[in-house]
Amino acid sequence: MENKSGLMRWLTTTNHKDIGLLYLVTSLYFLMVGGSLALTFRLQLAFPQADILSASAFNQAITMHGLIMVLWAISPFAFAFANYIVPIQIGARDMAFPRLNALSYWLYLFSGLLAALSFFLPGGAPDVGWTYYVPLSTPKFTPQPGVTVAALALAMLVASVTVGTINFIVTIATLRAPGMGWSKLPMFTWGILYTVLLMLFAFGPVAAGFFLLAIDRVFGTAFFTSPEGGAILWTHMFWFFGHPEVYIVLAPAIGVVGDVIETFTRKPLFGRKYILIAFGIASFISFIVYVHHMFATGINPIIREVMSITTESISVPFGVIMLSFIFSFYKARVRIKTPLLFAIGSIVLFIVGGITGVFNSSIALDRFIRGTYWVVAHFHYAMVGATLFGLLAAMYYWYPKITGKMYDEKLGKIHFAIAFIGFNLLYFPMFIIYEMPRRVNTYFVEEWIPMNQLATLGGYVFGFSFLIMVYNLLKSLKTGSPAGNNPWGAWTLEWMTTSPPPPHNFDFDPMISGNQITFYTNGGVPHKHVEYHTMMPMLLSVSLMLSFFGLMMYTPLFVIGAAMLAAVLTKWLIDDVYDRFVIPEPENTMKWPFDHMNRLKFGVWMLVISEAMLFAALFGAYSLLRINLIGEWPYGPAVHDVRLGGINTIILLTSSLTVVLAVAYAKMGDQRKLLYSLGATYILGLVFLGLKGYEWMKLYDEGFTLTSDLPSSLYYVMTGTHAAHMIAGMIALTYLIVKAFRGVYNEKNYDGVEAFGIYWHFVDIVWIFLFAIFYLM
Amino acid sequence: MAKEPINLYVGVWGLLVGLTILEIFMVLVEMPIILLITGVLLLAGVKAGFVALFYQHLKWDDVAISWFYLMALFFALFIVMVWTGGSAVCQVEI
Repeated sequence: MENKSGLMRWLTTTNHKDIGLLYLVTSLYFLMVGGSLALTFRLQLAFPQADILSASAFNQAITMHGLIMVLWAISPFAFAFANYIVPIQIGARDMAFPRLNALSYWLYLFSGLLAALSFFLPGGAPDVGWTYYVPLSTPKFTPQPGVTVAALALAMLVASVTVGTINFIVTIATLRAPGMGWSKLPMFTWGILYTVLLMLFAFGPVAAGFFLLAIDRVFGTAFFTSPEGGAILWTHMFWFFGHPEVYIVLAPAIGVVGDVIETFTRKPLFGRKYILIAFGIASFISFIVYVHHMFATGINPIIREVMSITTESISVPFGVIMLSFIFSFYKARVRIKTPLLFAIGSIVLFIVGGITGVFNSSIALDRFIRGTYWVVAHFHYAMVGATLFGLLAAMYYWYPKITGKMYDEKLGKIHFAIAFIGFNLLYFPMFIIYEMPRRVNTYFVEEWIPMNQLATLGGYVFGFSFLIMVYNLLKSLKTGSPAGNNPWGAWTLEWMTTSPPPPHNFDFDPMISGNQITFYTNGGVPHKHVEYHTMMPMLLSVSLMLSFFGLMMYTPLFVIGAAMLAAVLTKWLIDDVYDRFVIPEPENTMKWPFDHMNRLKFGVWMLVISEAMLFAALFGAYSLLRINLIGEWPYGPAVHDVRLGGINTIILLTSSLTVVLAVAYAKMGDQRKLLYSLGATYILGLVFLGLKGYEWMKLYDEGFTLTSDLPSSLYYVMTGTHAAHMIAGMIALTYLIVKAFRGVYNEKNYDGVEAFGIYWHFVDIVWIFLFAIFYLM
Repeated sequence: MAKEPINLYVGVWGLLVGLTILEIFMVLVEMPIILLITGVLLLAGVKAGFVALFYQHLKWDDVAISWFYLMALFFALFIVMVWTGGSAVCQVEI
């Protein structure tokens, strides 16, 4: 494909470095928006009973500040570097799925814009807090459309995150250069790997939560307004994601700090292996501590105590990581450069945030400091200070690589000093006024005034420090001295190529042997680069944004968006049918322990795992609501036709047989039987959906409707979600059948059929459990 | 032409259909509810296991993929236990 230039390049690019830069600019924009909101409400809090912001405007500002900073600013800021640096650090040419990488970015951008649009809607932006606690965020209390629009934007963002997660896992696991074993991965790549593994398991439940909330708000169900555990259900669904999200945000920064310390102390990290093990343990524990956000809900005391202990125990692996970082300076020839200063700042702020967090793990203390500025200070030290300082270290560390220019070191150090002072001025006073309640737009206690004014001053100093960075980096683009390939004398692969790197990263493929990096010279013929451009990811994201916005605000816009979405998806599939976007499977890469996985198959497996977590949360919701409705929940066979359900189950199981036979016939090169098997699967899928539709209509006639009661709502939502997955599978199946007609699949090329099979069988497994819980008990 | 275990696939299908019929039979004979719930969930787990092992090829594929699946299963069980355990005892407390 031809190379593009100007605006078209940025709209159509699939190159990981371009996408990294797009992420960088966009995340900095959202950082500025979120920061401006913070500066506004800090001004409100500088004086008691100030009227700069009304109560509603204040609530909107804090809600959008939290949402934007956590989801659209800090995490994507990390993924700007991940996109740019990780493929180079592992010696790959690009991400495993470049087109999906572009889709991740465009979904992220337009989801953010959709959320921001809510400011301009009647009633304004969401004012329910970033946690979207129910019943506050249900239509009875907050009927304004902005709350729903932002929830739909979050759903779009989850789609972006899921696509990105799959892409990074497949890339890091299967595209490593020869000799790049797991132990040789740079710390930043490890940080991103842990981040995406956390995302893989954490985002499904919150997606399910926002899905149910959207249905409550749009269709009038009562999942979260029901007295039978609706409010507690939301807190479970949110915090199962919300706590690991802290580590999702933090892990890339820990990776950066590790790389920066290694480079500027000029020796390997102290206890590197133990840091990685501790990192893994902390990532796992982060899932089993989340109930500490719910200590005040009256939840089972045994679970409270267990989660109090697990919360305290998570400080052990983090202690190992931080102490190892500190010991790495012992007897080192340290070079004090800006990236290292920010890395040290990140460690110091994390320690403050970590130690103050131990207080929150105590059930008794939590009762006292819950909902106060103590908590605000704690999580900003841990989540923002440690992360943002780590990512600013990344900014200065990789700026020479990305631009080919050195920044002004003196200005960099001034930036650090002002940012560090500003940050501490902003948040440390909040520990002192630990009795002040958060999320309230005013106060009357005079003793709190000085600390609030100090915090506001700190906020503006901290905000100002970013202007120094922007000035420094923009000025250095023009006047900075040439950086050369490796200005820091670092050891990782990104420093073994030019600054900035060529589109294909390396002229010759890298290979790692022991501690040596060598390059295949390929007879002196450098790699021939092919650029892939497509506008489909951008158009798909625009159409989704229009659909969601139209759904809430203006039906014709929804129709236009939906039609556009259908057209884009069709074009995408046609491009694939005619092989217009084929990236050859890389050879000679390190894939252990996934040696039998090609990119597509592995990608679909990861999709299945993320979908499994979404359904896990829906099954969790079913369990919670059913146990709270004991005695009122209808006995399955009394409502549903067990025989019809059984027949449908057997039909779906038979479709699984035809799919697995299709894979077998593709492997055997039997085109005719392959087509028959795929065709049979299609027919069986249609029959299943037809019978399901018949059942739904019959139940509706009997008064068992979407909104009649909780058991019926849950039945329609869970079986409907399953049916939607089947329809998605049928679309993929149509594509496979067209390709099979063209004789594409044979003994050597059956990846598509095999990958589809993995997905279809998963949908089958979900139904096996749905049949059991709704029809049989 | 590679040899594919087609008979095994058909055999697994027969077993899955048989277990489904057994599930329906358990409902029709009107067992005690606790036995029914336990039995139905166990049978569903066995069926899902067979689909995963033989149709999704976990039996023959890289074992690391099974670890991902097991991790998702662990979290699914964790979610169901904590969510139901938390609220059930809460009700008793009230």
